[in-house]
Amino acid sequence: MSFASILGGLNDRDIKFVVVGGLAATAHGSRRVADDVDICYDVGAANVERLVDLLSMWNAYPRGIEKGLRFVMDARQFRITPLMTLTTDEGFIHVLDKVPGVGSYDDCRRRSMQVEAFDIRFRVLDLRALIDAKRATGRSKDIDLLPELEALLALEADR
Amino acid sequence: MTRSQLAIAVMADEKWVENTARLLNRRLRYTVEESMWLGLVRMLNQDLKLALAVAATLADEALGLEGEPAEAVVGGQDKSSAAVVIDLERFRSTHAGALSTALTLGGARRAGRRSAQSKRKSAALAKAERYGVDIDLLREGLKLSVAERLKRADENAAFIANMRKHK
Repeated sequence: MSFASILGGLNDRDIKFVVVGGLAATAHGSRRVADDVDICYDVGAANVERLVDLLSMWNAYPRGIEKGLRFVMDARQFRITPLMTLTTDEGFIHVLDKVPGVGSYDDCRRRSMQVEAFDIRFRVLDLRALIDAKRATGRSKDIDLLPELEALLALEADR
Repeated sequence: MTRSQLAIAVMADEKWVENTARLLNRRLRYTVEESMWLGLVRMLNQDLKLALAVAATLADEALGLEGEPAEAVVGGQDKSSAAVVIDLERFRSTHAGALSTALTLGGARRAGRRSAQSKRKSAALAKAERYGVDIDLLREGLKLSVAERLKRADENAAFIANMRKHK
């Protein structure tokens, strides 16, 4: 389980993605513990193929589902199930074709910032977009995170 | 110059200054020149009971004269035998005294209302605290770079994963 290896793998394969979700919140200073990497990916065919290859190599499988069921990791799977929560050899990864409240990969990219960590560069959803996303989902675990994110936004404005 | 200083220099109260600016549709500039112009308007309006618009026109005319004449004869039309004579020398002297008082005793700029943004920031922090978020901890975390935060998160996640494995 390593964020470094997941992000490194995505980067090495030239996969176009933006980190969204809990790890993005961590990058902005959230103290919540993230245990997965959420990414919004570019739905272009070549990009999806690269993502499929990598996830297949990592033995991606639906998270929280009993093992041994048939699961095909291919481009069609991505078209049918644009949001997947997966467990892999490298850890948990959630892949989304769009982020509620923000939009597609292009929208996420526009509202992201580049960061450097684990000796790689990648993009992370900016704090305002992250707040919009959490608010838009309406899920209690996301709404739960809002006070902390809004506090971080207030603190960020002071810096 | 603050609003209260401007009012002192004009020898009026702040309300009069605000109302006059509004009635004359004039955006106030808090400058010495403005205080002189407005001071003259006040004098013509209050001492001679001239309407504000007339007082403003005459003040423009008087202070627009070339050089620094000791007195100004303003408002006289060719077809009228009436005009207003202003003792500008006296007026300038009076204004200088009032201006001095304004700048010396007029008080510093008030803090004013907190901006909406500032209120929102405080509200966000208060709300988070009520929710149980430790703001000091957040502040500490923000001292780290993004790379350091993610590295720490990675270590935490690895630790948790390891614990789950050995449960």
